[in-house]
Amino acid sequence: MKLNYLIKKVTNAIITLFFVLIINYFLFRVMPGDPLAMMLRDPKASPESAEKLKQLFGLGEPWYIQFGLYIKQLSQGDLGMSFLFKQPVVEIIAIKIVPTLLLVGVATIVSLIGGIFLGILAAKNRGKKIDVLSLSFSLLSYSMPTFWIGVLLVAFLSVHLTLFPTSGMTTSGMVFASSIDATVDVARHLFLPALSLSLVLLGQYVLIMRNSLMDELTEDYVQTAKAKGFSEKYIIRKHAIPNAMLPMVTVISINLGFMIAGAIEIETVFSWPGIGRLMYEALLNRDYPLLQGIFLIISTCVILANLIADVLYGYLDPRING
Amino acid sequence: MKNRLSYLIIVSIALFMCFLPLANNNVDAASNPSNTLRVGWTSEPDSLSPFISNRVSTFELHLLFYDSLVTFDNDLKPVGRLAESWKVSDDNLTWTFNLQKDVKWHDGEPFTSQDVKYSYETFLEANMGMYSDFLKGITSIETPDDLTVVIKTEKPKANMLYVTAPILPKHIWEEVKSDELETWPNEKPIGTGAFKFVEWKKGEFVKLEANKEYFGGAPKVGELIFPLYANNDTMVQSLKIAEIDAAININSNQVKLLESEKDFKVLSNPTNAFTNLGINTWEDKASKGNPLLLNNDIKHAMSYAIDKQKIIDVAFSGQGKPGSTIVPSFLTDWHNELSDEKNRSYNPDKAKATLDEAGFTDRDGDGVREDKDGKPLEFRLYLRSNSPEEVKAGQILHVLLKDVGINTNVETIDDGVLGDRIYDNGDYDLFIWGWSTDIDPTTILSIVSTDQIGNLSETYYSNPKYDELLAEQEVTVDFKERQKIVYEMQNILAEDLPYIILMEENAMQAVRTDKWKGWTPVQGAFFMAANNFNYLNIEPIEETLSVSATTESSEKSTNSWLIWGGIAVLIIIVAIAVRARKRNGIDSFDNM
Amino acid sequence: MVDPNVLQPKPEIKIMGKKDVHLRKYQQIIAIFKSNKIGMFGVSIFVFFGLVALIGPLIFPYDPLQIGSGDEVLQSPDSTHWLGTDDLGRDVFAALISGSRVSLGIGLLATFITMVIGTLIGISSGYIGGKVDTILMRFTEIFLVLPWLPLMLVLAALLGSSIWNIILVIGFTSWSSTARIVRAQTLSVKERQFIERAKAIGANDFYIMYKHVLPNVFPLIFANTILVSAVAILSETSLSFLGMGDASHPSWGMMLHYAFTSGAASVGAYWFLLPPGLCVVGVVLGFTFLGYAFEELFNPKLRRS
Repeated sequence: MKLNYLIKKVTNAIITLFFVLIINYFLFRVMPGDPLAMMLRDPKASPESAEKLKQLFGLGEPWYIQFGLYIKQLSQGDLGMSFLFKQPVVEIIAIKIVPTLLLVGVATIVSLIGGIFLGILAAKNRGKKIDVLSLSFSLLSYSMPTFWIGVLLVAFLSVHLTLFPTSGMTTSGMVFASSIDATVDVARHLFLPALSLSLVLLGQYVLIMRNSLMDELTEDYVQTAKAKGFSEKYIIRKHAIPNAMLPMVTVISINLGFMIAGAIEIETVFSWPGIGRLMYEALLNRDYPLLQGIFLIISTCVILANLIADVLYGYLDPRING
Repeated sequence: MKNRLSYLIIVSIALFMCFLPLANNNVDAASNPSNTLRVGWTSEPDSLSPFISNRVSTFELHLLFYDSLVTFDNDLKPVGRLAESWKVSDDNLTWTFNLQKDVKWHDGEPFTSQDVKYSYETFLEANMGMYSDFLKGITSIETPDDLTVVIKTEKPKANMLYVTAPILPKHIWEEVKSDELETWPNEKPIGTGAFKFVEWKKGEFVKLEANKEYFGGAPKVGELIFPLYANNDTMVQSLKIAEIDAAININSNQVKLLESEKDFKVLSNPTNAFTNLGINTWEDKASKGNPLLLNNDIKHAMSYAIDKQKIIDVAFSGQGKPGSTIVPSFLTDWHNELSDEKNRSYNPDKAKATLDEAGFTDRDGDGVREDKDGKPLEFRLYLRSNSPEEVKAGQILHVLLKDVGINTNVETIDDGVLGDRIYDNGDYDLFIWGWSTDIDPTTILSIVSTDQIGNLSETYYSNPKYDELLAEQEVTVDFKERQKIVYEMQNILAEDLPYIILMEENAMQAVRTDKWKGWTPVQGAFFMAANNFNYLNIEPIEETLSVSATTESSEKSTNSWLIWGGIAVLIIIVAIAVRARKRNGIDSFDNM
Repeated sequence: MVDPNVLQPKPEIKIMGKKDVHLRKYQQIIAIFKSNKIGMFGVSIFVFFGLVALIGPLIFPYDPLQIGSGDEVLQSPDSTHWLGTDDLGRDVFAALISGSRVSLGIGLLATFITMVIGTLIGISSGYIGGKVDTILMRFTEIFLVLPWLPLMLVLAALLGSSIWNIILVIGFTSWSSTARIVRAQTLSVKERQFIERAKAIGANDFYIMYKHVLPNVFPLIFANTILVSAVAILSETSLSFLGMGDASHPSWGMMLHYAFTSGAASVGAYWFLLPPGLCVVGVVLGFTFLGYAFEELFNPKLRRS
């Protein structure tokens, strides 16, 4: 892949990251709601406690001093101290990000594989029943609000049929005989949340893959290859599909924003102990440091993912690759 | 071929997923005793440190793994815990506590009076967290021997027996420097309590286990787990299918539903929390509130206009008790039961009459009354968006006040914004919020004191006589005398109305009765009560336990089959596919 | 992608007046459209909900501030309440109808803002190029990358949850993908002959952008608008579900929020939980069908022969 391309993409990522940093910082400082007042809304707290907390979190200083402090801490890997938990933000995020990564990761894989598979099926059998069915299914699932799917699945599969647990990531407090069992426990709890999250994107991927593949099949080289005697199956498998998958790569990274939105909703419905729920709690309690930390981490992840997708695209697309 | 292979792989993965529901909780019978109690909640601690946390959930946990000197019995009367007995000197300035013998900390170290001295002194010095304030007024703590503590106070301390501060182990806490107290998380609390702390998986659950050597008798609950739920919809569904045994903080609709089902004991009783209408009573010119609110007649009329029962019925599905004074009726020792008259209970005619007599009539026929200068009785009413019930209550309030000619501009904002406006020179007129209080009335009475303006007082109410009485009752040890003062204070507030108490909240909790017995409401609550009675005293119902024990032990090693089975299926499929490929000859395409 | 060959103005033709040409084109479009079943289905859904939103509340008035008595809360459907009552004792059916106005209104208005911003930035960026392009694209990328729901939650908390704030918030955070698409299309239009000619005559940039680029990019924008509307409606639903909706103008999303927080699923009140969700699905489906049909219309490659 051309070095220029790579450099350009990396530079873009860094610039974007910088702007995100600035926006991230100021956005939260402009928010209304005095966090101290919220924390102290308890008759047992005293004015001395308030003063102490104020000093602890550096509130009350002019904005440029606080911003400077922020940048300095950031370079040392310190994301500040959470108002709510009185623990370093980095530690809190580190614990909570893993469940979300698990959820989003599994959902992405499921929706991708399902989407590609069904999309290919639909494109190859264009106009036939399979095509119409998978198209209808995709459009339907694409139109459903993620949380709604979640609530309904819980009501039906968890409560009514008791097939899966209703919430959480593990059976609370259970000690397992082996790690296989512990993994299976997590898998059981992961099933419904991941399913809910992936359904919507599955629909979209089917549509994209289908259209992309149908587009490919109208290209000249396909006709030429057919004339030369290659079977349709071979052409599709060896050339059309790989080419058709290229647009998917771009779409995956765009969809990350959606994934995060979906994760916040799903984590609320399923009490999944991830970063989405953490963000919501932090928002309610005006926990600035935690909010900033989460926002930054999420944005960084998305920037990184975009960069990886760009690099991957550059690697796959022969027009850019060498 | 490849297509078929990938097709088969996908199908087998799908099959695997379908078998997942059959996988059972493989319980290692030894480390997961079957007498486990699971209590679901929707709000977990922010910290386990008694110097940091302000949350009810933390307080509840402290009741379990810590002990205080004195606790409450089921009638809210002080009864000894770590203190076996006590006496107070004639001048009420010296308290002598005799401690329980042979008490051990969870790590085996012996408990002595040194621990009490250290704990109290640290609370006093640090002055942080929800317990420190209780120890106000203590001047010295002496330990003449290992089982005696002598506490001297400056003035008579009326709430000495209400001090719920946990006694902390000196040998652990003395390692923590005083400036670290603000952030030291207390991650593995060691206490003397009936339960030992095991684990806290943040955002998921808290796990405790029984302290078999507890001096007060070991609980029959072997393991106590609090799973955290993000919403109470899922929590109650969980309760229904017995994933948990009990649920704290269900809502009114769920109360109605569970009441009609068997195997559940549901309670909905008034507690020490209330929902109130806050009124801006700041007399200073800097106030951004509507000055009309300083007129007591208007406030009295509002009180007459509000049908508290209706608000409870509609917004809270009938689960609550109409509010009266700032000291909830739950505190039977201190609540002043006022007459309907003094309470200014619902009477819309009287509301209108009061306003008429005060000179507020509807001069321009728009349905809203004005004063003699034409200023309308129109006020901003702020509601908290994160409480659907409060929002509904506000909407009903709007209609009720409109009926007597008072208009309100309702705005739903969030907690933080409301707080901001309150502290910004009282930029509000009315709002709905709530408080919860302690057994000691000082706590809730102090929030409308002049001292707390700029801190806890949102109404900016200031009455020197009230402040005087507040200080007086703090040092009046004689119960009858103190009660008189507390009653008087409530009378004053009923006249000045900085708050109109709309409703005393009900604790709404549900427990399953098919696995545990002995559930006893303590002042109407099983959990988040004044003491930990239920945790200590419920017993497993033997029949169900023995059944589940056998089924669990027979389920051992049933999950490995799932994995091995899946792998086997996969291998078979791959084998078939490979053989089929070979039979069809070489892929001719690869030669082109 | 739009095939520009379908709707290119032909300045050489003097036989037909401009109006006639346009008319002919529209007739063509309608003819193609009618043959597309999915498109027609989408149109009918669109029309249906449009009518419901416009006329419905006149037939079934609903006051969000009105409350029933305690016994009417969460009642199952009967003859007086066709879809039962909600958690405040109000009629769910009426709420649904009045909610259509809110959900559709917010969706469409927010979309309008999105399209305006996206088009402005996309055309300017693509046509002017150079430094302006780089800066605008960097700007777009930032918004593309900022996770939208957390951003929206923060902004909604900052500005308050009134209807207009929600419209603004959704509108101002969703324009980046539109800008990108418009820019890409502008880039291809930019190279065409009639643009060269206009420049040679001496037309200034703004004139060219407005008179030539915009009409050619417009079909694509139109198809995109419809799809963006679907997303806007879903965004509002998500925002409301998490509690950031406007309580005095309840949308379908707010109804779902109330259903969830009052534990409708746990007490089996499905008449409250299902209908708003189904309506959202219906509307989004309709818009998606429409958008899909338009895409097929403008890209003959996708048409079924």
